Amino acid sequence: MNESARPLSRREVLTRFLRPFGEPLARTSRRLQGAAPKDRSENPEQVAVIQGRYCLAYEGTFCSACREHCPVPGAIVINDGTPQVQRDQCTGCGICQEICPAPKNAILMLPRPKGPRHRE
Amino acid sequence: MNRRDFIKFSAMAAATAMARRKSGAAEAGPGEASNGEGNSPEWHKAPCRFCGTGCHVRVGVQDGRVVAIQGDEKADVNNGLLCVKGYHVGMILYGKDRLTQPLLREGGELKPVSWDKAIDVIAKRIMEDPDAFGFYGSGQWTIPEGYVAQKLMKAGLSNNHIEPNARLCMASAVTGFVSTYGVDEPAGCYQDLDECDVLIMWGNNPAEMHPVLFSRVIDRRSRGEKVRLIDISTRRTRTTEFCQDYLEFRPQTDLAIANGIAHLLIQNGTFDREFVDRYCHFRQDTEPDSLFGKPMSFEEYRQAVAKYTPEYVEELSGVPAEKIRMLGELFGRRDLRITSLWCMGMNQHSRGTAINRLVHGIHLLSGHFGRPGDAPTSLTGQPSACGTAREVGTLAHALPGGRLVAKEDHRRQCEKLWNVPEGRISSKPGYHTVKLWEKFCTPTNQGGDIRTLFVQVTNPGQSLPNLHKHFRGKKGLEDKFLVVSEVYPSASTELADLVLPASLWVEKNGIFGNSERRTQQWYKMVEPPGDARDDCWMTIAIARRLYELGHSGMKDRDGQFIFAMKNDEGEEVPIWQWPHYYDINVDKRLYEEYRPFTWMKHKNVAPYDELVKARGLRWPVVETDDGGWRETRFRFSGFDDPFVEEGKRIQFYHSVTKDDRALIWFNPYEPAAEEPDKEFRYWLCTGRVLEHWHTGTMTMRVPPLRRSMPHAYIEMHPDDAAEEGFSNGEVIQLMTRRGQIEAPVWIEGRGRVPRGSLFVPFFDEHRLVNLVTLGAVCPISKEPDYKKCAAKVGKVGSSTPAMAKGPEVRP
Repeated sequence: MNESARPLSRREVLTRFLRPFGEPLARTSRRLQGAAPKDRSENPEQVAVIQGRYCLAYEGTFCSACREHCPVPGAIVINDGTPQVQRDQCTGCGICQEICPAPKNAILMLPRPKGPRHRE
Repeated sequence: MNRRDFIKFSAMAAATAMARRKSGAAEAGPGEASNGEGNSPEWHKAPCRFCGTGCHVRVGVQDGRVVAIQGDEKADVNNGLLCVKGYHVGMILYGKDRLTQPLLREGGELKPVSWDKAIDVIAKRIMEDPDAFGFYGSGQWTIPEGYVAQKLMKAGLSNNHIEPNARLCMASAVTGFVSTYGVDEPAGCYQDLDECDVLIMWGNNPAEMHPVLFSRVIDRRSRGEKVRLIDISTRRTRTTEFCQDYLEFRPQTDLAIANGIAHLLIQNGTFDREFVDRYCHFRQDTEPDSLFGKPMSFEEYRQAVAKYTPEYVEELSGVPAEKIRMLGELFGRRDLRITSLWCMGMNQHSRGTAINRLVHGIHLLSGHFGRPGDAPTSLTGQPSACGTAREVGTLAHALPGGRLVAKEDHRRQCEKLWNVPEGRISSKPGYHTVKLWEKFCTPTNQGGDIRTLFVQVTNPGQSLPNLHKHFRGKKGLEDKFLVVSEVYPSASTELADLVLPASLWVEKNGIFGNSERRTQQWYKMVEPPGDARDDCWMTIAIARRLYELGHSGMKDRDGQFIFAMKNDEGEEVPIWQWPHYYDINVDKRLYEEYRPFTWMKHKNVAPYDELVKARGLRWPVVETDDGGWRETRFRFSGFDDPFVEEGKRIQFYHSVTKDDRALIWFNPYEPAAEEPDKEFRYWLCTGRVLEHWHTGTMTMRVPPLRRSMPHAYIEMHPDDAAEEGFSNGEVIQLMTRRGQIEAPVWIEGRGRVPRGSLFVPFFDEHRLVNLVTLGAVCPISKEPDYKKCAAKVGKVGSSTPAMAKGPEVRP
């Protein structure tokens, strides 16, 4: 197995994945409105918080878009169908907020509480 | 109110609805002022525009615009809940590129023309060669739209070339029901999901495709009820995550699994002998295949399925023998209630009719039928696949109410009801969908005898299989003329010679019929944009123009036709003139004219005025002694179905064998039409995603949905990707013998395919997976298989010269 072919981490996967997804579409199909996801980078100052009252999954319908698009493996996990942010793994990139399809965006980016960031 | 405000308001309203659902608070009904606040919208009821579940939404209208959407708590189907698409359904009306004027292609370009000109052009094309005209509609046609199109074609033009896209979707379910019970559509209803102990999903992903229905089951679990979920599938989906058992089978071998269950029921002696003796016969196929086959004895049946031992099924399907035994044991238990669900996995299958029959068969054989929670139930993908395509029968071989053009007495009945001379309806079935498009894309002098096609409410340029052959072949054929009625520019309007701007959803009156036989009505709430008009009106206006041009078919015995309608005072209303179209309720008049057609097969739909009051009613709907109307939840079951004779537990009153018995079929496992080989080594499966509805014409205009799922991808196993040298997100080429496309690889994303399999969704008009699909059809239903063909993948630019004419993916 060569290096370029090794299965990638979710982070590698999705940072690569989102780019081809967002940009060509925004460029080539102007007649479809709506902004493509911005090129996001990590922001250690903030952390994603899911507001259950606006989250479709918490409200009994199915959605897992935030987990699928999160570039960090394990930063958003699904338990019993509902997504949960693992605060110590969230890099604050905000991609989940960009793509949340709930009628009222369920993701808040809040200032990260002070304290040790990593478990290890 | 600008777009931003709309989104804000819609979001607020939806969020409010979710909060209320939790608290169980009562709220104002449709049409009532919501809460008395000065600036609040007026609320109306409507079924959601999207799938066949048939959720009801409350539509908030203010200043002539839809400004808010809520789940309707009074609706049985969804109890106030909606899926991610449903909460945004209002926004489909307000995409910036709505089509607002008729456009005629001149010198290669689409140029605005008047409606008069547009209607005249179509009418003259028809007059020129009436038999070379085809009408292609859909399961999103409202019942009146489908009915009036059906009547124009069959009673007016004596032309049976009318098809709905439902041929691509539900045809195998129909032939499955008809060949088993003698009559179409499920016996059970959604209540089965509330009462089953075991729910088996056959190649079905309701967590994404019917999320509100699936949530009924998951809700039960969160209340502490025990329900066992079994996913029999070819790939892991969102549904799989909720299932206790996941049985992954090699594509096409679902036939073997079903036969394996039947074999175990007989071998273990756990089949329901009494049920089978009283209510069933056995059947097998003829050579060549036919809808009703030929009888076989129980002993012959036993021998036929005996070959499908758990070990043999494992060998074919890859599902461990012990799991097959598990299924056999579950079906053998009478104390459990078992519901089977399926949708496109079983229908879009080159042996679609066969697998539908087999699943009905194991339910009948095991007696898991006719009690709440014991049901074989097919789900529909479109909001009125049942109501319009199947019940109105807008198919090349069908007439309204379950009748067939090939049957003389059925034609006579329709001619009588339509008041047209005997012999008006042609006895020769028209072309089924794939054939119709093949003929349209074939030069006239080479047998392509369909020259003009009128498309309403569907997007064949994206959804037909093998698009090069069945759609794009039209390009350059000078004498072919494509008319497309649409709401947005689409892959279909791209090749159209005439584009007609259509009203959408609550911009018109409508009636849908959902998966559980529920007929649902709504009123027009807002005006369509610009010069967009109703599809129903288009058909009527064309008929009127044909009448003016002297087409003899546009006259019934009294010299009238579909355009002749009177108001309550008995005065003629010129409904073919758009300003007068809403002077009367055309929908109601067409629907009431259609109702008597539904009686023969006991599919009695409710009167229009009853539908107005209800959040849909499930047929058969019968009048009660006190003048009320009663719907039916469980068809053929004595405890609920009014048409079952007194004292009978089960009665299949439209039985093929005319003795109230259903048929248990044997159909063998047969290989797929195209299987992977050395060169094309992957199975390619196509399908849908949660956020988008079918070809995405509507949902891709809804920014939150588009952001969440912006374009198609190729789902691949990580080991296969590694072996091919692909990294995740890399844009690669996917090739079949029919063409190629480019799309990014997505590993461990939404779904997970096994090694040797690929999955690509079809919603993305810029990555048209149907350029490469096969289009092999089930020999009986004529429904194409979109789930199986052979493909290979490669780095971009690696294609061999032989494939060089692709890709035709647009920029």
